[in-house]
Amino acid sequence: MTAATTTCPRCRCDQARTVAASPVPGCWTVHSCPACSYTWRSTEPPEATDPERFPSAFTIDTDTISTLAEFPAIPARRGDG
Amino acid sequence: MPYADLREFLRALEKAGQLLRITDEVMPEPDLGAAARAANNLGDRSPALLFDNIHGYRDATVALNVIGSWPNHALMMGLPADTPVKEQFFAFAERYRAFPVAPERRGAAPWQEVGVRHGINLFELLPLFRLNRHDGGFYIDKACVVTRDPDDPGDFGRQNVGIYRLQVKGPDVLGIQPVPQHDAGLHLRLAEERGENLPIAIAVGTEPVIGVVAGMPLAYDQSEYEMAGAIQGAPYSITAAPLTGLDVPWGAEVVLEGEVLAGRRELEGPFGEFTGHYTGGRRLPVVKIHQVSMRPRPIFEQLYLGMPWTELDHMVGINTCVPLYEQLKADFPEIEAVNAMYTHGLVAIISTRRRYGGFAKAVGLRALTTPHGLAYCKVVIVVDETVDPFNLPQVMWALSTKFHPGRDTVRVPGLSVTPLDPGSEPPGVTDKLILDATTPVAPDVRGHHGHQVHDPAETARWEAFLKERIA
Repeated sequence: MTAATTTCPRCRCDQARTVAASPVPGCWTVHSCPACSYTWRSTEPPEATDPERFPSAFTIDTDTISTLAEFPAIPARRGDG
Repeated sequence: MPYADLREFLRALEKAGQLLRITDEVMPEPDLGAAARAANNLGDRSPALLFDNIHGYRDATVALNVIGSWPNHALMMGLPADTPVKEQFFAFAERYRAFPVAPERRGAAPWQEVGVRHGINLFELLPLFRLNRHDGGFYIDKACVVTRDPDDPGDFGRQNVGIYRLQVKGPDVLGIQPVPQHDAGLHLRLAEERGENLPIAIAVGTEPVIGVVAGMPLAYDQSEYEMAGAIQGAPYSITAAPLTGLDVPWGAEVVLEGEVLAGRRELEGPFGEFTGHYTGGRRLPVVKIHQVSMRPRPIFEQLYLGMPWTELDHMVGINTCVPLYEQLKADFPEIEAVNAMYTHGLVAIISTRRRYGGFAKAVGLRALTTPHGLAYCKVVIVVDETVDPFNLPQVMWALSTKFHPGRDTVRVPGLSVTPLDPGSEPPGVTDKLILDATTPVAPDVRGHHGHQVHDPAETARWEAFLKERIA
């Protein structure tokens, strides 16, 4: 579907895409953030959809994502060392 | 027994009064997660829930809490709904010993009717929804995930069926959490060492036995399909998935196929876990979906989890107790029963006869070194063989009266535990505790346990009489 963009309530990336619309037209849309993968439906409460109301304990600073632990760790390829 | 598919099992639940159809319109959030949580809050006899009127969807059906109670677990095994938990445990153990039962390979499966290879959008194909309010997205959390050993893809026993949390992160992209101690984690490590993607098949909405077996702590080369055959008492029906050739349940509602991408890790979660806490904030492997096969109007089965007890605790209760019981009994025939149902066995209770003084503590320590004990069994309570470990008031009585804190506590520092244990520090390491609540026997002579009150004569007959009259 058309990739209209909006602001991610969790990391505030402004490139979140609309990934689905309700099969019954006009009921809701689903959005997904390419930066932090947060996904939400338009009919959820503001704590899940509004950057101003999103709980601070669950917000993400996109600058820190690359520093987060890999789980499980990526092993060395055979023959590489 | 056996059930051909989820639909047949749902009919059996309905016939037994253990399925509630919700036909009123509900919101995807928060109603679906809330309803499943509420069913669990009402006790351990709650029904499965079937929703077919979800706001914004056409033709969507969601099943929740399918094995979320002891009557439903009994019906999963083909037993009467009122079978006591301890009897379900012994029935499961007896069938476990029938392993392996070779599977039955079948041709055209119902899930092959609709195929999608281009423009896959899981948000449109499935009625996905958020379970707990701070989950990072919509998850698929009760699907059977199938992978093979990349070094030995022809070994049927090493093909694994497990349940792993899957975050739908994009229309055809999933995040997956393959814990290194689990077989899919090993398969991924081998594939990444080879520099290859790992083929994966994901079966959503299956008859109930394979889901229970997928959550069992089996040995690496033990086939879940051969165990499912043992548990259901008949060969398990499987079909090769069209793209990957991986074996999936014949009766599934939906089959997703794709690859775990080698060397890729991306932010996943958080997700409310079976420990009753959210976990996340790590970079986890990524799955790219290449093909979706499904029935027309598939039933989307999902599992609520959070603070115990939930459906998950019923699913990984007895199936965890039985391997522990069999492994301990192989060394110590005095073992009577094992209840490792508390947060997947982080707390376990073992009832045993005592060979001599100190024996019960040795039994408790042995539990720590079983395969499951390496990641669980943080606290092990050992009780007499006359105490029913599934009867918590009896276990509390044993702790209240038999246990001496100075003499009956064994603390072992620095052992391994699942990193999902919020109490572990660093994650994955914890001290473990044995609490010996058995009656001391010679030469460990102490206390005043000589004059225990036993049931009056004829109590068992009266129990049966009263049960019949009350029913």
